[in-house]
Amino acid sequence: MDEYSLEMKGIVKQFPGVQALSGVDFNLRSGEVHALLGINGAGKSTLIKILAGVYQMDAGEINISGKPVEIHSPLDAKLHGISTVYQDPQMIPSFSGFENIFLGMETNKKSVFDFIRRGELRKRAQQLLERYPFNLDLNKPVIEMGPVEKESIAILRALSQASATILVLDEPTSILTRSEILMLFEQIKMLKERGVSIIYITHRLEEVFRIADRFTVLRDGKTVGMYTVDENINTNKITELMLGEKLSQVYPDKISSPGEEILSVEHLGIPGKFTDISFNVRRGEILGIYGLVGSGFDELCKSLFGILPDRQGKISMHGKKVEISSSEDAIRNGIFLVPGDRRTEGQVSEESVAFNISLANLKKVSGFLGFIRGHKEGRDTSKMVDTLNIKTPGVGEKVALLSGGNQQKVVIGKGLYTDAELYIFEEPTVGVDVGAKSGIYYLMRELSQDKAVIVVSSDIEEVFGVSDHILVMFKGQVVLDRFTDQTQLNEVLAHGLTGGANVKAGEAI
Amino acid sequence: MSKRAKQFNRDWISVIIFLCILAGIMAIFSFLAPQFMTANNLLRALKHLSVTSLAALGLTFVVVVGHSDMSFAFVSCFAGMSMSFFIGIVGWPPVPSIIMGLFGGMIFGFLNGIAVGRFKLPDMIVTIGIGSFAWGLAYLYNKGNYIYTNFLTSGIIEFSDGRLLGIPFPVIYLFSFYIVAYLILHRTKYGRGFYSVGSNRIAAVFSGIKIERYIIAAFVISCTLASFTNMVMTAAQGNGNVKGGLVLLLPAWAAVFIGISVFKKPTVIGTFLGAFLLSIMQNGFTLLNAPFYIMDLIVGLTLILSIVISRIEVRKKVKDVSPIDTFQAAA
Repeated sequence: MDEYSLEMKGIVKQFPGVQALSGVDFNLRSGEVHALLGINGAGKSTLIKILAGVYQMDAGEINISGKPVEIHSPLDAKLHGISTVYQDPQMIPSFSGFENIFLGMETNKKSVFDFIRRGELRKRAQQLLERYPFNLDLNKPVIEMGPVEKESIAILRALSQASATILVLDEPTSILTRSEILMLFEQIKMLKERGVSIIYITHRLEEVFRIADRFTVLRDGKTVGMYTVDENINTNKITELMLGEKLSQVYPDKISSPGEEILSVEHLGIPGKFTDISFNVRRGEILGIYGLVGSGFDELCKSLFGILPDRQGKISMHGKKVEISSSEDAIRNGIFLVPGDRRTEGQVSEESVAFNISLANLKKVSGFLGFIRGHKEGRDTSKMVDTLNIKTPGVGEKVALLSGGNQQKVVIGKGLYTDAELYIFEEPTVGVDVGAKSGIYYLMRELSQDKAVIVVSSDIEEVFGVSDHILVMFKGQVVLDRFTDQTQLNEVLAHGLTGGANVKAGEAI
Repeated sequence: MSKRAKQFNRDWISVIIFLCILAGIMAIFSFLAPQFMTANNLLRALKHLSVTSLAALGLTFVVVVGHSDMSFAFVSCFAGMSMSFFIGIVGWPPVPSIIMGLFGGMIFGFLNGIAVGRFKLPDMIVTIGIGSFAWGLAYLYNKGNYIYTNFLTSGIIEFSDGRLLGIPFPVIYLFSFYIVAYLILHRTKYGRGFYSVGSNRIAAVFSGIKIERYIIAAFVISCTLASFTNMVMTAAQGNGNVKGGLVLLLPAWAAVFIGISVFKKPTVIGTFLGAFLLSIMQNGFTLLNAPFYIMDLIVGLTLILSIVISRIEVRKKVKDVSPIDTFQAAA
C-alpha cells in the first residue's frame, strides 16, 4: 500500500474575480489526523469542497492510495471513500439516531413499494457501531441528544458508506464546551485506531496539539508548509505561519489624535453570550473588535443596536446614559449598525436603491400625513449614490441587480442617511471582492473624520489594517485591549484564537 | 439594449398582456351578449365589483406584509350579523349599528395581528381559528336565522341603493377606498414600512421599522374592510345572513394573486385589475345565463393560474443572482 491515502498536488481554483487556490499541495497518511489551518479566506473551505466534489478544480491532481482519481460530484467523492462532516450537521430531530444515519440511504432499490425495514436498519447501524464503537444509544431521538452525540451521528453517517476511509471534519468543536471537546477527541482517537484518515479543520490552535499528528497551513490560496506536531511547535509559531509578513496597501492611514468621546459602554453583558464588556469610542477614531465567529461579537453588535435589548450594563452617548431597547431607539440616539449578513439583515433586495437608502430615516423624506416627497428623496439619494460612488444606472434600480460591493455601499448609504454619530460595521467586506474592499475601508476612514466608527470582524487583517484601537474578544470576553501601533498582528490573532495562552505541544488544553 | 431598458420591458410586458386578455374577454362577451356593453350593465358590473374588490383591497395589505388572512370572510359574517342585530333586534339607526359592526371586525383583525405579529404564530392556522371563532359567534345573534325586521324602515338599504350625482354609493365607496389605499401604500412612508416588512422583515428591523405595528395594522385593515363589504352586501340584500360574507374569500384571494402575477408584487392597482377581471367575467356569465357554479370554477382556475404565473417570476429572480455572490454565500 502507498504511504499516502490521499495526495493533492497543485490544486488551482478560480472564481469570478477571486483566485481562491493557486497551487495547493496536501497529503494525508492513512490513520493520521491532519489539521488544516489558515485564516478566513486562506482557501480551506474551497480545498475541502473540491475534495468533496462540491466544486470542480481548474487544475491539479488528486491521488487516492497512489492512484489518480477524478472527482466531479459529491457521489464521486463518496465512491472514493471521502466523507465530509460539515459544521452544524443537519438532521431530523424527531428521528432516532439510526434513522438519521441512513436518512435517504435506507435502501438501494428504487421502487416506491420497497418499504423501509426499521429492523434491518437497526441491524446495519449496530454493525456500524461494532466497527466504530462510539459511546452512543442509536435508538434515542436526535432531539434528546447532546452536541457530541449529534456529531457522532453525523460521523457515523459519513462512515456508513462501506468504502469510507477519509473523513473530513470541518470545525467540529466550534459549538462544543471543553468537556465535550475532550469526549469528541476520544471518539476521534478511536476512529484513528481503526484506520480512518482524518482531515481536521479548526480555528482552535490548542486542539492541534491535542489531536493532530501533522498540520498544513494555507495562506492566500497557497500551501505555506506541512509540519509535524512536535515540541518545536507552539501557537505563536503557527499564527506567524498563518499570517506571513505582508499587510497589503489596501488600508488607509491611521490617525493619532482622536477627539471627544462619543460612545461609552460599561460592563455590558448578556448571560451566556458575553460578559463585562467596557470600552469607549472617540470622534475621529476607528475601534476594531476582532474575534472568531461565536466569540460573542455578533451579539455585542446586536445588543448595542437594540436588536438584543435584554442586557446588563450601561451605554452612554456623549457622556449621557441612553436607553436602547429597540433598533429605533438606537437610530434615534445616533447609532447605526451596518449588519454583517447584508442580504438578510441589510437590504430589501426587491426594492430600489432610493427605497433602501431612505428606509431608516423615512421622516426625512416625508412630509404632511407621511406623504413621500419624491423630489427630495430622488435628489438626496442621488447625492448619496454620488458620495459613495455606488455604481448603479439610477436610484430606481433594484438593489438585487447591483454587485456585492455596491449593495454593501447602499446599506452604508442607508446608515449615512440617518445622520448617525456612531457607525458599527459588522463583517463589512464579506461577499465584497478585493477591489471594492479597499473602497469601503477608505470610506470608513473618511466617515471617522467627524464621527466614530466601530469595525467588528472575524477578518484579522481587516481589523488590524483599518482600526486605530483594537479589542479582541474570546469566548464572550475582551482578552486584549491595545492601540494598533502598540501591538502585533500575531498577538491579536493569538488572543483571538486561544484567548492569549501560548500553548505548546504536549500541554493540555 | 441596456439592462435598464430590458428591465422596463419585462415590467410592462405582463401589464400589456393582461390588458389584452381583459380586452379579449370583454370583446367575446359583448359579441355573445349584446347587452354587455351598455352603460347600465357596466354600472351593474361596477357595483358588483365594489363587493369583491373591497375585501380584496384589505387582503392586499396582509399579503404586502408577507402574511395570509383566511379569517376576513368569516369575520365579515360576524360584523354583518352584529349590524343586523343592532338594527333589527335592538332597533338602533344604521350608522351606530354599522360602527358597532366595523368595530367588531376591527377587534378580530387586531387579534389576528397580535397572534401573528407579536406571538409569531403561523398565520394560516391562526386566522382560520379566529375566523371560525368569529363565525361561531355570528350564529349567537339569532341562532343562525336571517335578521330582516326593521330593515326596510331603518334606512340601511340606502347604503347600497343610494346615489350621489347619479353614481351608486357602492361605486363611490370603491373608488374612495382604492384612492386612499393607493396613497397609503404607494405614496407615503407607511407604505414603505408595509413593503419592507413584507419583502425583508429582518432588514426592516435593522432599519428601525416597527414591524409588529405594521403587521397588526394590515390584519386590522383586512378584517375591517371585509366587514365594511359585508355591510354593503347586507344593505343590498335587505337582511342579515350568517353565511353572507363567505362568498368573499375566494374571489378576494384570486384578485390579489392576479394582481401579483401582473405586477410581480401585491399592489393596489394590481388588486383592482384582478377584481375587475373577475367581476367582468361574473357579469358576462350571468348575462349568458350560465349556471351559478361556473363562476366558482372560473375563480378557482384563475387563482391557480395566477399563482403559477407569479411563481415563475420568482424562479426567474433566483437565477439573476450573480455567481460571485453565490460563491461567497457558499464559502
